[in-house]
Amino acid sequence: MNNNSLKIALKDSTFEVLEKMFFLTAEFARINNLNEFFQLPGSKIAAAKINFSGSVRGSLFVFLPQTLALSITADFLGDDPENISKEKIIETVKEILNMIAGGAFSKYDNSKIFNLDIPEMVNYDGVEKDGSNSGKEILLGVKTIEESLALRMDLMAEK
Amino acid sequence: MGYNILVVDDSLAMRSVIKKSVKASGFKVKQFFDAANGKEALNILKQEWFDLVLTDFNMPEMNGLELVAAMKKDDLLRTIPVVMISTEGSRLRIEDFFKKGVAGFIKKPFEPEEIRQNLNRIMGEPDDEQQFSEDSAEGLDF
Repeated sequence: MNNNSLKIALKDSTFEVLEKMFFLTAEFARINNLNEFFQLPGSKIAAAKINFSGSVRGSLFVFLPQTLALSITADFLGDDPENISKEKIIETVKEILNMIAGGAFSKYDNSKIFNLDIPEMVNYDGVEKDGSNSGKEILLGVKTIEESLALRMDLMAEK
Repeated sequence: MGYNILVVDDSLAMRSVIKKSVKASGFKVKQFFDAANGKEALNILKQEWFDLVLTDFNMPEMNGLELVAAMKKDDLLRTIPVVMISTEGSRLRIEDFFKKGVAGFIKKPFEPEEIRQNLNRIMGEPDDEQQFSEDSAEGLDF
């Protein structure tokens, strides 16, 4: 497994999804620690997770301030933020993660099949504690014109 | 004249975006119908006449390939073209989609032009780029 190739694939996929589906131009942001990166209480951060398996297996998370989740949902659906329900925000966040994961793995190794589970919303504070045990992880900070978001890929040992 | 299209995706938000993008692409649509998974889609397919099915792959209850397999077993549904719209874009996965009877594949994220080109090819319609520029403004208000 080549972590650097996977990180590049994750970055390219993230930028492609944000640009094509959400018309957001993004750039890399330095990130060492999620709490330090967001400087927000955990209750203000939306988090979703998707498990994957194949030649690499593990979980991919997306973290974003709830205010950014609302505005990109409104842009995605072409609706006013006042008309956006919590359910629509949840679906949009899960769909962003699903698209980023699918794109990242096909860019990483187009000749292999990766299986993606159904994405789910998770508690940000819970994820922080779990993440410290994962061993190998890829952390990616992404700055948009609005706010920043982050992705974390927890990789499990190869079979 | 347009086509009756069934959009199958477990995300209501994604179904809305797919419909908006198809309309914005300029592809001829008569009416859209929705289903949240393959099982729901099969029920709807037995109640209405459809020209085309656009389905996600990864869904709870019944995924996109299971839906295609069920349609192929049904004499009334087997000829309806199914287009897979999925995030999973590996070569092997796409080959598997086509082997199992899928008529087209569109990778998420997508642009309206890609949708129009694919759907026009599958339905045997001439592909005219003008369609997009003329219809897109109206489509975006969907």
